[in-house]
Amino acid sequence: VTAAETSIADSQTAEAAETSLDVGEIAGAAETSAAVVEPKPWRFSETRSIRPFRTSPHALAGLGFRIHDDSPFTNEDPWSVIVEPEEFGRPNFRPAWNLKIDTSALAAESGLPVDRLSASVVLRDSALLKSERIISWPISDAPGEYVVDHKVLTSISGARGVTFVVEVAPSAWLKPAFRTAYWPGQFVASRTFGIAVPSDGSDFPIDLVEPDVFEALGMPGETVWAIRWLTEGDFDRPTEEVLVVLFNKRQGEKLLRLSANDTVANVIWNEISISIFTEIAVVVFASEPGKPEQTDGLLARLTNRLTRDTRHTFDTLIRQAKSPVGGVSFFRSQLQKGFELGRAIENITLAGRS
Amino acid sequence: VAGPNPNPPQPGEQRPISISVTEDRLESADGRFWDEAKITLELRNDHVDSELECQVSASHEVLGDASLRVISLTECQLLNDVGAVLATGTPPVLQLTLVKGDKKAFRVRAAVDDVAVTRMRVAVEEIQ
Repeated sequence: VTAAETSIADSQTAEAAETSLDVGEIAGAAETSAAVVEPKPWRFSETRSIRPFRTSPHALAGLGFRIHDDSPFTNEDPWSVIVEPEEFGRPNFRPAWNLKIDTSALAAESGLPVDRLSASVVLRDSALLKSERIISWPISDAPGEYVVDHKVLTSISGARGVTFVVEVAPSAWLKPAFRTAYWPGQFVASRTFGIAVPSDGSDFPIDLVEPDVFEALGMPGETVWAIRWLTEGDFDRPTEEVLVVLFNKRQGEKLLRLSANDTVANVIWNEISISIFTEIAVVVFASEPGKPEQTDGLLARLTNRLTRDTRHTFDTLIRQAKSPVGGVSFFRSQLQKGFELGRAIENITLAGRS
Repeated sequence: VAGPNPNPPQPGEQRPISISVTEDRLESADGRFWDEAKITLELRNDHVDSELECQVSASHEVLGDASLRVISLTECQLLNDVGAVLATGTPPVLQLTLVKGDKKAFRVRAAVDDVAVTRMRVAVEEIQ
């Protein structure tokens, strides 16, 4: 998996973010000295999405999922597991649900009669940029248990993991009514079941922008990439709400098209990813965040990745990031190891290159 | 923009104020639609001072359907608990003094298209 592939913005994660509640604190710029510690000014914010129609948070709460025949159904929410990419090709890999849909809650919470609703299973394969509805039933016809068809499984890449989503939406267009879903694209209930592969943690959202965007931000138009922070310090929230990596269109499109099999392209992307990741890690941990509460937030993903790669604790990462000298080098060197930059350089074939 | 964050967050336990927000979309009698958030602020009992000056601001963001990125900001009103408008703007800003043991309740209201996905963001910060 190249960084180019993993860096493409994914609206699925944005979708997952809509239900999150984020509470963050941003201290102000009070000066502190070694002798007197002044209380810092503080700021915090709270936000939630408001959808144009009512949804049912409890309709799918009882859904159980498993990926192997010999495993019990479990219903963690969100449901997620990390497997090796080879897992998708193994004969006992058979994702299945017990479809315990609470139809009373569904009707009461969505404001829609159950006989107007359908349940669907959607497969999202990020590596193939594919989102496919693999089956759909009227709620009344949904089976007690559903196993994903073998033919569907053989079409999975698995290189970036897959996500199954069970969704409930109107079966057909209905007469519009205030705060009530009325067309099949409006999901009144959904649950996500993620099967991830070990991540390199570099899937930051990207925007390809014209050079004048950099100039408007006080940077030269020749800037190749820069990070645009969307928050002043609340990092315990989905990555796409925290930052976007701006790529100059002059180079970005070419960079994104570099072949995953090209060894030099691999090194270029590793270097870019390491630089981006280092800057983000230093900014986030130097801000002395509290421990992550949002499991899908940027802070949690950074923490998981860096504690795994560096074998250092959360508090040590903060101490390293705050170090006036050496902090950047600490993170960069750990990421060079994690991204296997050395091996990528060793893999470059010099023959035919002048 | 790239660079060190000049405003680092503090750990949660250092927040002197507890905040509660509930949001809803409403239809008024004249057929217009509003997003409304109810906010309650309270000085925490374990805070050392008996009163605290702070600033409340609110923003109403219209989001893209699929990406949930912010498309535009809507002017909104900050109202007291009996519906009197205290501030209007993008964002409206209100300064107030919180006294220990006294809850302050507000509402934020913004006109909305009934099919839009939106987000109400309420921020509270200390005045120094």
